[in-house]
Amino acid sequence: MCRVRLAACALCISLVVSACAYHRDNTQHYLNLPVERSQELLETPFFPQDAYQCGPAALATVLNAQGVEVSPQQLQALVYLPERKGSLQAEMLAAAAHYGRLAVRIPPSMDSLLLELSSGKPVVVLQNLGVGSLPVWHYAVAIGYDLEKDKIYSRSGKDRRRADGFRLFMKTWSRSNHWAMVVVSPGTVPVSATEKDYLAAASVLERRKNHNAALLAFEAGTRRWPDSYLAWAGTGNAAFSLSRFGEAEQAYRQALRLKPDRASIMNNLALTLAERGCRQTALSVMECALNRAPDDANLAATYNEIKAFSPGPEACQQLVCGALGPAVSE
Amino acid sequence: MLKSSLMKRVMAILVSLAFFTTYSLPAYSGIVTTEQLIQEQLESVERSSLVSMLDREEVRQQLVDRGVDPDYAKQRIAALSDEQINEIQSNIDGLPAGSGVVGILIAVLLVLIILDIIGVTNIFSFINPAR
Repeated sequence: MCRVRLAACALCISLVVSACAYHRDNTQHYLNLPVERSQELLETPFFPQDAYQCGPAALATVLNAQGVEVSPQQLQALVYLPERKGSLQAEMLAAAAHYGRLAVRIPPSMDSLLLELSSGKPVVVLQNLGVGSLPVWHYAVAIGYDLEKDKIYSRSGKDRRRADGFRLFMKTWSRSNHWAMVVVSPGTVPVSATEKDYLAAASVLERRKNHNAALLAFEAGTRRWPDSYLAWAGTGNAAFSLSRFGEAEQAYRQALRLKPDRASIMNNLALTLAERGCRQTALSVMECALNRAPDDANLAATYNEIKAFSPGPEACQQLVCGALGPAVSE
Repeated sequence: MLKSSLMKRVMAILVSLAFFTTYSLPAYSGIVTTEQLIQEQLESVERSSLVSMLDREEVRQQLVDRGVDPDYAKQRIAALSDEQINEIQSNIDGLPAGSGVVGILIAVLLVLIILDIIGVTNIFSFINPAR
């Protein structure tokens, strides 16, 4: 009898000890990251949410942190879906562009979350506070963490400063597949962002015809990813829309150096050249493009449009069709 | 009665006309947008379905049906990418819609409080899981 009790006691103790050890393990892994041991973005504003309004409240929090003065009530019209009593992720990502900011999705991991917080960016996270079959979807804004104390701090619902252990936070966050986004001003690239997610965010500015902001954003993209032909093409598109044709030409040429077979970028370069008075060169670029994609209706239309331009001075840089490597010659 | 249904029809035509004139792409040539370039790059990997103006109109209607102000619905649609339009169109009622913890039924509340205490869920900040 006594032995059984002893064994039970031993079992209890070992369980408690292992639980403690596990507890410490929660943050052990992150000590190797290039981040501060602890961080809390105390300046982050706080908007306690009204009924169901965590989407607008979370968005207002990160937009205000980026210098946009907007209230959750104003954002309701942009991100709240009355019948669903909530906000969709797609609209959370799309709405920041209304205010000339980029909402960038970050990679779904605690590493990215900590990197962003450590670099001073509050992070919107989507959590399922309930369980899979009984979901309680909720947007909160992570504003800090403490690796020693095993805490994540957030502005959440009606709590100005909520503190959760890493394990519990991960549990509710993992149910949204670790969905998270940060909001930045044009010219800044979030530290953890991937090229794809960043360019998608910059494209929203282009879509909304905020070309000044788009130009800043794509240019910043070329500095972070100099080999990204899409970042260069985006820079070209923004410059073109602002009628800055010289810059547009250089950006498109760089994009084609990196990706010589893109007929659609040739299309854009040709339109730029035509605007610069290089009709003949533009036509030769279009011939190159049409060789690659003979059935493309847009290319054919561009070709005809450029034909209608009047001939210019024609001291223009040629494009060597389909050349790999440097695609430019005199 | 007849009059009002006729009015409705006329309104519907007017509204859709206004929509298409605002959104339809120009028929002439033009710059290929960065979004289209990104799409092109993706398509070399997997062919995704094209989103037409009709798809956008459908999603706009879905938003209006779910209580969004029609003027704002237009703006909101304009900000979404083709990929996002696809996503919402096929599953607007199934996608997560973050709403927070206000307004849960009492019965559900009790279950959740228990789950909170066990540490499975984390809805109530005043409950610290027993561990």
